[in-house]
Amino acid sequence: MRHAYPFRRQIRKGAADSRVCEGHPPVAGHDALLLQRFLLARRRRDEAAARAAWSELVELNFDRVATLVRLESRGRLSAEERDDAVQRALVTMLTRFMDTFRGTSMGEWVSATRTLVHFACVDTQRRAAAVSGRTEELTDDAEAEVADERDPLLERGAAFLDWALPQLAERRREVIELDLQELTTEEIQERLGVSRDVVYAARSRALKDLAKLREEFEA
Amino acid sequence: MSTVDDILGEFIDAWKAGERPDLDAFLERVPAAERDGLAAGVAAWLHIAPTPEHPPAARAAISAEPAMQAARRAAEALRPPLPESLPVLRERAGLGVRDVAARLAERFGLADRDRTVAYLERLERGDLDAGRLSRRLVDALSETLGGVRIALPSPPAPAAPSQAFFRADDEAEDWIVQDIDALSRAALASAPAPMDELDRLFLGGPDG
Repeated sequence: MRHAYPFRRQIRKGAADSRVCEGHPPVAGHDALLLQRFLLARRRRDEAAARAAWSELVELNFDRVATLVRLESRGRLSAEERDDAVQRALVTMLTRFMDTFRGTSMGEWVSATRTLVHFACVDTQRRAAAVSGRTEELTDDAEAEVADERDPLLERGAAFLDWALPQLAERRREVIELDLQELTTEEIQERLGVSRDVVYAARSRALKDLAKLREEFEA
Repeated sequence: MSTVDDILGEFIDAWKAGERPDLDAFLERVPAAERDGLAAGVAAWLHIAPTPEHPPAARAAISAEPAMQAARRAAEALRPPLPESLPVLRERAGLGVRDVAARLAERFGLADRDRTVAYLERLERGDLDAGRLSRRLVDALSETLGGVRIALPSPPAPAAPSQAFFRADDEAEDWIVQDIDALSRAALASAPAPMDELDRLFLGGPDG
């Protein structure tokens, strides 16, 4: 089943813009359904159901966490330290993050996860430095200060794509929107009537644009 | 089209298919000078990527990941003990001690609500050994507090095997006399009142 990514689904609420989503009912993805199940259970104060949904959501995102840790720690953490950072992030996600998350969309959840992974890597670096006596600069002071006041709830994940996507060139935006609807590359090719190379190139450029826009958005 | 576009595209295709692409393997496929570019593309993707629907084998592999299992164990161990968590859970459920006592009384047909309140207060103060709570009570508390899973503390370690008795030394005689005195006093004392349902719930142990 193909469906609109919940991030986009939320963005589209009231936007009356269905440029490339025509023909795709806005059904929430399995991750968004789990998040909804968690939010409902938490509202009902059904702790067991909330914990079960949350744990499943964390587990489904194991690869996202592990890969973000790898990206965050390239050249700075050993393989063992990376494993430690992954575990540190997961423990926080399974405990404190579950209690403090106040978002309602997967976009916010992913954004908060990204922040949490960053701080897990910083913590791991600090501990490794303390143990080994490493003295090289691991994080800048500003980052270290932020680390002490971490609050992933302040993330504005849900708003980013809403703001950023309209700024992309048309082809790039179309490819990303179809990616977010979980269409395969072949389906995107078919939908847009373009070759695989065009999809790959548009996607790659769109992601570069989004990375730059994110810096601007978060500045 | 550059190699980076191609390999990034393949990474994303593998991600969307739930194939759990290995970042390092993809990074190794591009020249060193282009790895940062590929890493930036993957990072940008992961910031917006839908969570893939993994095939069953991949899902099982994720569950079996040592880091995932260790994190689950660590998260479980971080849960506070019952005396600490009970007031928090109760307040989160919007209930006072008397409310909880009333629900327990209703469920178990307990006549003395004040004693039930007193037991609950002792439990929250940590004056009551949580290991003596009955499973029935723990289940009822879990349900009353909104389905929260309350775990009974681990049972105590089994008693060490008894040791052989040897002939007592002379100086042990006093101890024996004291022990016999104590046993005699206990035998003469009136028996404590039998446990009622409320006592069994709070003091009767897991099977009480």
